[in-house]
Amino acid sequence: MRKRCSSRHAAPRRRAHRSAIRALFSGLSSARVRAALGFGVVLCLGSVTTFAYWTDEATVSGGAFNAGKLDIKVGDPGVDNNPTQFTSDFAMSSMVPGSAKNATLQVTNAGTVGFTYTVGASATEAGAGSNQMGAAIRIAVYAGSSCTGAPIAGPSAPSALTVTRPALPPATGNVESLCFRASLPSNASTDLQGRSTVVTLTLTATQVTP
Amino acid sequence: MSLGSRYFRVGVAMTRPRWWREAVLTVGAAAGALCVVVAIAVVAFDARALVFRSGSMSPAIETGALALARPVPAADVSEGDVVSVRNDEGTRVTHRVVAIETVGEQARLTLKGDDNPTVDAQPYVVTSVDRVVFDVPRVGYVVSWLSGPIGLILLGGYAAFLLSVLFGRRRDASVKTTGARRTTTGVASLALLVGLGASVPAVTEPTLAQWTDTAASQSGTFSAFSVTSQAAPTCSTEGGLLGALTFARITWTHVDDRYEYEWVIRRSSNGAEQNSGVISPSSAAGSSVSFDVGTNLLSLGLGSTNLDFVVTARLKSDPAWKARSSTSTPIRTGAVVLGLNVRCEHI
Repeated sequence: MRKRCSSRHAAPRRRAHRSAIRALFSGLSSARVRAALGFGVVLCLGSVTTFAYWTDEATVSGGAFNAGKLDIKVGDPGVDNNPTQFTSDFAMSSMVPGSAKNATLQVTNAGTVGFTYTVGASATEAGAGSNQMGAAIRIAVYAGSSCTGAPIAGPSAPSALTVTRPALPPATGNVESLCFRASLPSNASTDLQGRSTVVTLTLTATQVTP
Repeated sequence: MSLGSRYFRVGVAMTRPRWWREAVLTVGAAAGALCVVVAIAVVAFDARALVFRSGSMSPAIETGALALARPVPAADVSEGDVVSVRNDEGTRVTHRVVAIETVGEQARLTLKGDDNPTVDAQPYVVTSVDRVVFDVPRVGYVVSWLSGPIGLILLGGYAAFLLSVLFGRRRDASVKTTGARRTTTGVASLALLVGLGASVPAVTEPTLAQWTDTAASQSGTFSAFSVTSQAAPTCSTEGGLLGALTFARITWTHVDDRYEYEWVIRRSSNGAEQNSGVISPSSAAGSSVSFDVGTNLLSLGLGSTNLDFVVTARLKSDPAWKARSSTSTPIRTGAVVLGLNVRCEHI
C-alpha cells in the first residue's frame, strides 16, 4: 500500500532517470550491441598487425619480453665496482718519460640479458698546465689479457679514451679480458716530477635489443 | 519462417549452454569499448600505444605494460615526465626526464630509467616528443600475444562469431526488433567501427625501457719520478809540485745510476758563465764522481777571480728532467807566469 502511494507521488525527474537507466541497460544487454562493440577489439588489433606490414616498424608480436637483469661486473672475482687486484696492479711510482705499466681487467656478464659496453676514463690532476699528471699520462687498451698487438683504443689521455665493445651475451662464466697500459710519453714535461694521478675507468653496459 | 519453428529454435538455443556466448559478448564488448576509446584518443591526439618489453622503468612501469603516449612540444616537457624517443640504433626507448635544456623550440633531454643506476649514455635533442599519459600493467603481454599467429587465428574466429551475432538469426527472445531494423543496426555499427579502425594511423609499438648498468674500476696511484739533487761536492787542491800549476779536484757521490750531471763554472760576482759540460758516469749509484778543474778550462784573462763550480743532476734518458736544485763548491783562479792556478777557496 505504502509502496504504491510513494510511486504515484514520486518526482517526475526520478522517474525519467530510472527509465533512462533501464533503456541504457536493455540497450547494452542486447547481443547485437555488444557484438558491435566487440568488433572494436578485432579492428584495434587487426590494424596493428596490418599496419606493421606496410611500414618498417618492428611488429609487436613475436618479440621477446625481457623482465630479466642487466649486470656488468669487473675483476676476478667479479664485483660491481673497484676490484682490489686491479687497483694494486694498475699503479706505478717513480715514472720517468717512457715508463709504462700493464694491468688486466676481466669483464663479466653476470645478468640475464646481453649487453654491449663502452669504456671511458677520467683521472685526477687532469687540468691545464704542464704539471698535470692526469692529463700527461697515456692509456692504451688491448683486447685480451695481454697488452700485445695493436691497441683497440689509445694511447690517449684518460679523458679522451673511448672503447666500444661488441655484445657480451649472458652465460655462466662469460668473461672477456681487456689489457690496460698506462705510460708516460717520452716528451713528458719536467714539471711533472713528483706529481701523481689516479685513473678511474667507467664501463657502461647497455642492454642489447632482443 | 513460421512462428512455431522460430519458437522451436529459441527453445533449442536456450537449452544449449549460452553462458559462454554471453561471456564472450560481454567481455568482448568491454574490451572493444576500451579499444574504441583508445582509438579515439589515438586519432584525436595523434597518440601511440607502447608495449614495454623490458623493465628498466620499474616499479613505475613494469615489463609487459601497455602505455599511451601523445606528442607534446619540447617546451612543454618537464623533469619527471616519462617520454619515448628513438635512440641512435633506431630502438624506441622510454625513460624518465631527469634534466632538460631548452633552446628556443628545441630541448636537449637527459633520460634515465627508474631502475637504472645511471642516466642514458646519449642525450636526445627534440622539438617534440611522445609523453606517456598513462599505462596499464600486463596488457602489453596480451596485446603482443594476440598479435601473434595463434592470437590472429583466435581473433578471426572471434570476428566470425561476432558477425554471426550481428547478422545471424535472432536467438535472443528478449529483444523485439524487426528483421530490417536489426540488419540496419548491425551494418551501421560495423561501418562505424571499420571507419574508426581504418583511421587509426598510430599503432602499438614495442619499446625498450632499456637497461644500463655501470661498473667503475679505479687504478692505484701513478706518480712521476723526482730527480733528487746530489749533496754539495767536495773540493781538494791538487798539483803544484815542482812549479806545476794547481787544479781543483771536485768530487761528489753518484746519486742514481740513471743520472748524469751538468756542470757550470760561474763568476761569483755576477754569475757569468765561464765554461760548462756534462758528466755521464757509467758507475753504480753511491760511487764517487770526480772532475778536475784546471787552467785548460778557464781563460787566462780571468786573473785572480772567485768562481763557483755548480752541479745539477738530470736523467740520462730525458735530459729535460733535471733536479730542482743544484749544489756548488767555491774555487778561485790565481794568475802565475805559466798560466792559472786553480784552488778550492774564495778570497
